[in-house]
Amino acid sequence: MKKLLSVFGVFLILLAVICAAGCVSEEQTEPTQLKIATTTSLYDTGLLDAVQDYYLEKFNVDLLITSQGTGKAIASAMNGDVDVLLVHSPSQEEAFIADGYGVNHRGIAYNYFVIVGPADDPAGIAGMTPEEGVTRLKELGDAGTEGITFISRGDNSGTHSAEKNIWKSAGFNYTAQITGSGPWYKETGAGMGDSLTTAGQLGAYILTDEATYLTYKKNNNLSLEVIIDEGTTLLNRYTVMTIDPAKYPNTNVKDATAFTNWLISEDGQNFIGSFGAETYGKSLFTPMNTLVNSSLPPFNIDSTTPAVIPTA
Amino acid sequence: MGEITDGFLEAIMLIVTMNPEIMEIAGRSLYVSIIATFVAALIAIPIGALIYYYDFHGKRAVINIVQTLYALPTVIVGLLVYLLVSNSGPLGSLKLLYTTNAMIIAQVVLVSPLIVGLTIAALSGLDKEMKYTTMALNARAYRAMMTLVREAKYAVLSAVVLAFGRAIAEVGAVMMVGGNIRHFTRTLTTAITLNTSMGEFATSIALGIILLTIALIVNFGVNILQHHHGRMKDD
Amino acid sequence: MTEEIISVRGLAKSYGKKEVVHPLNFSVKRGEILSVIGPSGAGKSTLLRMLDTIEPASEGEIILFGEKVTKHSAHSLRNRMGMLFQKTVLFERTVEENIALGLSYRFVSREETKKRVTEALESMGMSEYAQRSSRTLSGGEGQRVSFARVLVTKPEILFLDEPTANLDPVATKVLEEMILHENRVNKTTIIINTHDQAQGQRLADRVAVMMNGEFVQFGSADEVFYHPVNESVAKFVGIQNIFTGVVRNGNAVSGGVVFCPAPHFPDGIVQIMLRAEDISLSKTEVPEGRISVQGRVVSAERSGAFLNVMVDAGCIFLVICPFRQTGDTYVPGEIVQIAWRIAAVHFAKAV
Repeated sequence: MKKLLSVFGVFLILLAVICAAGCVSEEQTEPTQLKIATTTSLYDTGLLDAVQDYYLEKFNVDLLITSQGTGKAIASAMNGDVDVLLVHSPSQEEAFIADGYGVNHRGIAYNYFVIVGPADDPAGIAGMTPEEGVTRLKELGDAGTEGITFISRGDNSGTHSAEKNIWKSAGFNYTAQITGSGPWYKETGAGMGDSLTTAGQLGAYILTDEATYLTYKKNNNLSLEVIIDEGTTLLNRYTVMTIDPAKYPNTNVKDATAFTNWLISEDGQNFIGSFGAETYGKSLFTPMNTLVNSSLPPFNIDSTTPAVIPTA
Repeated sequence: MGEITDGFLEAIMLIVTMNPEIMEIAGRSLYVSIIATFVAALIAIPIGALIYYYDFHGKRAVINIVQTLYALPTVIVGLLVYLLVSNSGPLGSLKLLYTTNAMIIAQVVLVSPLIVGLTIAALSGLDKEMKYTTMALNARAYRAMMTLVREAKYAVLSAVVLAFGRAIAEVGAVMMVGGNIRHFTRTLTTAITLNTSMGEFATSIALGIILLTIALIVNFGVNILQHHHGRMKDD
Repeated sequence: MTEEIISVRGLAKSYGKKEVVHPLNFSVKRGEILSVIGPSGAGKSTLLRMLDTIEPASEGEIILFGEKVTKHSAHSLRNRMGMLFQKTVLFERTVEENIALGLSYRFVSREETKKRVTEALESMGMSEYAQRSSRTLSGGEGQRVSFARVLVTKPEILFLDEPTANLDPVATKVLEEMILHENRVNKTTIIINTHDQAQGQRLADRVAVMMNGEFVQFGSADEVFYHPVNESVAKFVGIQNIFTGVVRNGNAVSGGVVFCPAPHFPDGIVQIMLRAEDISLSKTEVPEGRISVQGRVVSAERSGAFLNVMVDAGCIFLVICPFRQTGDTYVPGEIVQIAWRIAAVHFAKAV
């Protein structure tokens, strides 16, 4: 019995120490919490961590950001696990709103997807349009040409949707003609960073958002270069949505609306626009308010009207 | 290879400078896994003792199932607990998702089968005459089980230490139900995943080294306890 | 006031399809020592565990102290009994704590526990062992401590499952004395399993011979050892000379040797049994009043303090004689006289 007590005593002391260590960061007035689900491509750039620190300091709201891939983010939002959804997948966002889950949809930033590949460009597609480029890749791939590989995310993420869009725009039926069509087309099912690493190792071509590419190039000796970077189908749009309180009454609509409004405000847009400029030589994101009144999809999205707290 | 040496150097830097974010996530890993292991032991050791002690139809099937659960993929445990505590799940109103409590629950689910099974193995390693002796001395079942667990305590403690190792090193479950939220539910393992996917390999290795060091210290502590106790008895 | 303290009807045990103990009927009187002897695997341990209610029976009923054993009554009945096992079981505590374990289970007060434990240690002459770790005890010491652990709970019935099988002769003797003492002083009923038939004979009032899950013979020690009911029992109780013969003209005969008159046996095949110790051996003498035959020495081997001599006198006899008493030596090929009393010959039906 005595031994049991002494073991228990040691355990309690250990626990106390851990709790003390864990309780180091206590705030003066308790901040409120806003739960946000987002995608890995956006989170891995580090923008949201920077936003989190700034926002807590300025507005005393703790942004709890969980990033697990577009599919999981949307699923979490549909389960009412979060208050805000930050993604970059226009078709999935439309469906989300059409099903009644999302309100106060606003565009907040954009950048470009790029097609990167090995520096010596074995497929010779540099400077082509994205549609021309992928068509050529398919030709060479189907013919079994050595050294021609294309890496796809293969995970229904925003980037993957954009890729599918390019194939469609080039006139292909994605499910019938592209996916699983041969060893030249490899689907990783992994996040952007992991997929880029794989592409780098295999000397393959891959569609990526510019932000992740830049961070990887800088931190990780990525051996891929930008091959194609111009074309309307390469435009990548980031948006914010609040979960509809009609579906989930306990959504933190107050902080969500305030956050949405901050993102589209001048302060927020400047914050987004200047992120990464020092570290990478160019900004990773372009604030959406530079494209006011664009009618070109997917940019025909409201990015200025202040949001109003939705009612259940 | 360069990454591994970089990782070592970075690990030393982080520890020596007591980097606050690292201290925080290391503390959180310890907190979640120690409590989970403790709670799991509290539940699982008696269950293991009960299964060992009583003979019943299907006893072997039960033990089989328990042992099969050793191989529960952590992501599946995470997924199951997530479905329970998600806002649209049956326990949604408890608001457990994306908190350390959900992570503790998930790890309890994960390691309990391990402790149950190894407790049964530990007790089965005792001479069966020991069980008969407690019964013949007319112990009530719970007293008999206490005596037997005490006799097998080193093996049972080993099981608990193993369970802790599995808990602190897993990532699938805590990622799913914790969400890897900075300053809130990020642990060493989820931080490693994040850093790896961001390409910060050296940092990942550094965190891995820190995790192993923590596990080493915990094991060391337990060994000292066992050794000290063992020596006392010899006097 | 000797009543039946244990009464058993149709008691049997099966593990799956295998029947380990066949339906048994018997009873045990209060204060008696019953020895169950038999080879390993005969079901003796299972039987004792069932009687002690720590293993459930597959069939039949057990009545203890006049009360039927059921799931509900088992615990309170067990309170009045105790069991000791062949393998010494000691828990990782001091000697004192080990002895007190049964009392701790019964929530006996600390003063009473201290009193009984101290007395027990004193009576064994092991008082200075009280605080020692149980791991430091020798085999014999450990088994005595285990025994004390049972005795301090003041059982009315004691089950001993081959308690000395793992002990050396000295430790065995000490434990046997403790057992006999307990029975004499406290009138404790004792049931002891043993595969050592001599031990059974030393300790028991009655003996049950258990083979393959059944009692093949049940009676007084003398009955079993001198009048075994068949060849298996005879071999087990150490009768070395067993011959298949016939009764002819009122005499039992085998291998040309006329063993003795067999008035009560009908003509026909019979097992003739003769203990090796009941045969006398001499180079010349033919003692009076005995049946005597001449034979040739086949071999002579020392066995401890005895001489085992094999003699071919038509049948091959094993004779055991105390070596130092006679001082005789026997050489293979030598002619000798062996003799026995008529009363020493025992018959059993040939199976």
